[in-house]
Amino acid sequence: MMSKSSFLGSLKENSKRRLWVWVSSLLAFVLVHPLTLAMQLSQVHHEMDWLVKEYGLEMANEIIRSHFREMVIWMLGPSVMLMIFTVVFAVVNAVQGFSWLYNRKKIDFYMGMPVKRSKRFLVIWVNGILIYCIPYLLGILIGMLISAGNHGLDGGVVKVIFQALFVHLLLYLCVYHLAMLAVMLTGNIVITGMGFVVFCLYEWGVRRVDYVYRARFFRYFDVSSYSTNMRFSPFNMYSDIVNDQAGMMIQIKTVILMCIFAVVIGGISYFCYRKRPAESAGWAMVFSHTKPVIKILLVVPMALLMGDMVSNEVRYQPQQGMSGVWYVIFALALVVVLGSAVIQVIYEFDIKGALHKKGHIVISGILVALIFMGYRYDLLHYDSFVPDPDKVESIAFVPEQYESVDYRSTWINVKNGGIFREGSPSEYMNLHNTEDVCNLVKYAMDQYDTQFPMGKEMIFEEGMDNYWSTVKVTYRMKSGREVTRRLWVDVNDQQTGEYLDRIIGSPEFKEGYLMGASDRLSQLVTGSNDQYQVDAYYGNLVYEQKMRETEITKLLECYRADLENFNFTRVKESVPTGALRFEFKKELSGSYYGKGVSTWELGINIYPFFEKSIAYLKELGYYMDQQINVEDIDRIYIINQNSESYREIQELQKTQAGAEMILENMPEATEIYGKYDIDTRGYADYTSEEDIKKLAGCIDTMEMIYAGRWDNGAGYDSDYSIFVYFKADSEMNRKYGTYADYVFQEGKVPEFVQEDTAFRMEK
Amino acid sequence: MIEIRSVTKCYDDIKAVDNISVTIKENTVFGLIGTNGAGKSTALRMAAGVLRPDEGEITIDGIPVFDNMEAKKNIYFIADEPYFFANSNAVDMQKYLCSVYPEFAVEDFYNYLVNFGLDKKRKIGTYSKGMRKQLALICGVCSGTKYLLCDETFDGLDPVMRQGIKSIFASEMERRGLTPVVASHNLRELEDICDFVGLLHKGGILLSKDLEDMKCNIQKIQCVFKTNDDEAKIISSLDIMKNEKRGSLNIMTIRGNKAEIIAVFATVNTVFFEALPLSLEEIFISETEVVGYDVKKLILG
Repeated sequence: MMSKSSFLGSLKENSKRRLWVWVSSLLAFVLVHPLTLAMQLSQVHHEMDWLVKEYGLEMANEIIRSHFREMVIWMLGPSVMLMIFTVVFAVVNAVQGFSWLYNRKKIDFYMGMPVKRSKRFLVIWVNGILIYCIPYLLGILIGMLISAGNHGLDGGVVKVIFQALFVHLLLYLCVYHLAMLAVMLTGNIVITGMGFVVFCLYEWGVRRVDYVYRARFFRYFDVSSYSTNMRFSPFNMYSDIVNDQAGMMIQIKTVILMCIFAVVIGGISYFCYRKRPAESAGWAMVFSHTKPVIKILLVVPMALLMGDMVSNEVRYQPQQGMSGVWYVIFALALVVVLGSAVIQVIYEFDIKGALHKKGHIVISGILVALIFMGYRYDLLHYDSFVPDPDKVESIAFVPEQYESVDYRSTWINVKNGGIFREGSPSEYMNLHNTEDVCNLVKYAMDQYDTQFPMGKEMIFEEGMDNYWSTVKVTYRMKSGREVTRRLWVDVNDQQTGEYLDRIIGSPEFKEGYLMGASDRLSQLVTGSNDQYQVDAYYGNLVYEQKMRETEITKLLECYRADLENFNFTRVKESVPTGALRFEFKKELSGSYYGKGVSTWELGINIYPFFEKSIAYLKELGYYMDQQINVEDIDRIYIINQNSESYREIQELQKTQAGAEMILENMPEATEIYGKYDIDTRGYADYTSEEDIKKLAGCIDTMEMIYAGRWDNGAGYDSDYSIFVYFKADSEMNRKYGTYADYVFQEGKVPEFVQEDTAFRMEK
Repeated sequence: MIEIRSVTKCYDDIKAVDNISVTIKENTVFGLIGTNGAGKSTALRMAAGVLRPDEGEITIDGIPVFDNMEAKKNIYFIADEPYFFANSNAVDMQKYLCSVYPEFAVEDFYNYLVNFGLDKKRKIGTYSKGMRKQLALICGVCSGTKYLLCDETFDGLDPVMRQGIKSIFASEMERRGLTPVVASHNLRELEDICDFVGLLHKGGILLSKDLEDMKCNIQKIQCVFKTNDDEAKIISSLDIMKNEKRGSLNIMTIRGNKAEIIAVFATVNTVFFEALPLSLEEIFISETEVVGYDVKKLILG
């Protein structure tokens, strides 16, 4: 049992040996940090004159107070400066506190004394925390006094300051213990530094290896669902906690994880301290049996990462023909040999050590080869995995960019009453027709593997990329395991179409994928969530009508009824006649980021076969039979690229050498455009009401129709650019601008336009 | 009593101490002699509880010493290169040692500093090597511990200082039963200090004996025998460790009591007879040569 006075006496004695660290910590927290805060606040003061002139005294005072508040939160909350100080002092205190273990003279002195090892550890450990905490507390006290003097302090700010203190203390403990562990495992400061860096980066390295090799060799690997974030990095955990967007649950979980991390690493450090032999001072590694393990654990990922880099250089990948394998093997072998040699030299502090312990090189080499071949030949059958439908609880089948509405989201993540951009429909989709999905996956994979055999260069024939579309499939197994794959499906294939009709046509798919099909959107719209201001519009994203809440509620009911008819084939054959656009706005006052408005937009397509929705829109008078209102239009200007003609001429120039040949074949083209300047564009300007009326029925807004749809459905003719100019005195001119971009659907360009804009050999 | 029983210590593949067993009695000065690398420091560091033996056991008054505060309270260990806090002076060291050793003799400490001419306010970093060793010894003597383990502490001290330390040891031994254990690679350094001596070589103990016993049990006789029969009779009657002949002069190292040896010589006719005193070196040389070691190389270089 240790008496209180004896412990305090020991702390005092220990502090005498650590004076410079105390002084540095006090300088950082009590001088530099408050001084920086005062300087920042003084800069805000300088804005006062300008603000008074601009907004008047009362408003200027309000703005300044708000700025002070933000500044105080920025400096005394989870600030970068405090985070850097925390990390630096955690490392310095750990290394300085236990550096006596590096020195034989100090070990003889301290360990010869009648002081318990546990007491010595506790004294140094506690002192290391006090060196951080006392100056930190003094610093924030001074900072709070400065803030109060500048009216930048209130209850909310104090709460943020103490929350930040707690989080920084957690970060400190994690890094402190990690650095302590590096000290306990090594015998000198250089190796400790290297060890600490390895601890911080090792998880990243391993995840990186796994990621790059999956991405290289597994064609059905879903890059987007793989996180290379380090779960066990104190820095990452800290970032998760201070990230406002992470959500309360994640923050609480991360706090618990950080506590566990700190306790576990601290416990291991203490265990190593107790087991550390006194004679290890000055050695590279304290525990000799850890040497080969650490060496191999370092060399293997290093070699594999180098192998990946060389693979990139020599294009050793399945899609590019797998050439240059010998370069890759050479790189792997070289890093295994050199890496092992360098680490052995470090262990022995002797260059001759490079040639020792050849067995480690062999073991590392075998492991590297096994891992490399494991990925290369898919020894664990990762890529060919298709589960037995009976073993699958549910599936999320998420086509990429299906049913898009311009640049707006078709999907937003609503959680805990808040909207988040992160996440995906996968979370909400629970398809139980697992057999259809599994059969489609098998079928699609067979087709894809036949079309693009593994290991051969992928050659896309023209237009192929239009019908090979990607889907992210997440299997939720009955065992609780979750498996995600990203595959390609040929959306032009009849069999695939039938599968897709059944999958996309199922209520579970619609519930998960289409925001309008679920209650989540209705709840946001009907004001049950008062965090957000919701505005809804119907139109073609050029012409738009703002809708009332009751209207939108009714329209959503009609929309849900119409979804009965929604399936892959119908959507593929259709072009939306209009879209519902939602705007969700939330004020960000009180956040670390200061005042501001965060806006989310969501779009929902209305297809011609949505009879109930269209009928209701007609009833409201919002529905447009045509995509423009002829009365608003001044003129329609159309440019036809005539790309076919352009290609023909270009082809001639490529294949027939010399100006004489071109002159001979197309003398008129050469005469007009010279040998190289080819302009095949045709122009037409329609200003008469009659022409505009004729065009109104066959053009669509650029926002409503796409080239390269996921389902390879009707796109627009990219040869034609249509500029619809509004009359100068029209409402549209004021609301929207001078003109709007329109397009023709593929194969629906009127003959007279084709005629008017065709390529002619004349100037 | 410090008991070292069958202790072995290895550093990687190197056996620093190989199965040594020594008993160090209380109230004596024990000298541990050996060449560089013989394992003296390792043995002392184990005895001080700094290193854990790989095999065997070390006890201080019957208590195992490693990681045991009860045992360590009775030991003060002075390493071959004593450590002092950076930028500290003698006063700082005294304050620290007072916090660790409750029986630290503060008054004696300052008296010794004055007697040894050490400035208590001067930074230890500016002391000479000899002065640092003196300070370390003063710290150790004043710590109030029963056992003082000194690793090469006397090497390099001038004779006056050694004499000073010797008298301190003597008075502390008398006053409170101090038991110094002194390791050195130089036999001559220990000759005038130690009562008991242990000789270490290549990690093992060659011998461990009371110096007085050793001196009493080995005699050096210089004589000239009248006849060869006389010489043969002496050789057969006594335990002759060494017999060196220079012409008719015999120089004999004989194991045994002086009086008994003289009595045996009285039974034969000698032209010349003289019993000579033996130095510690000579005793060691004789003892170790018997077991096949050339101790001159080990100790005297």
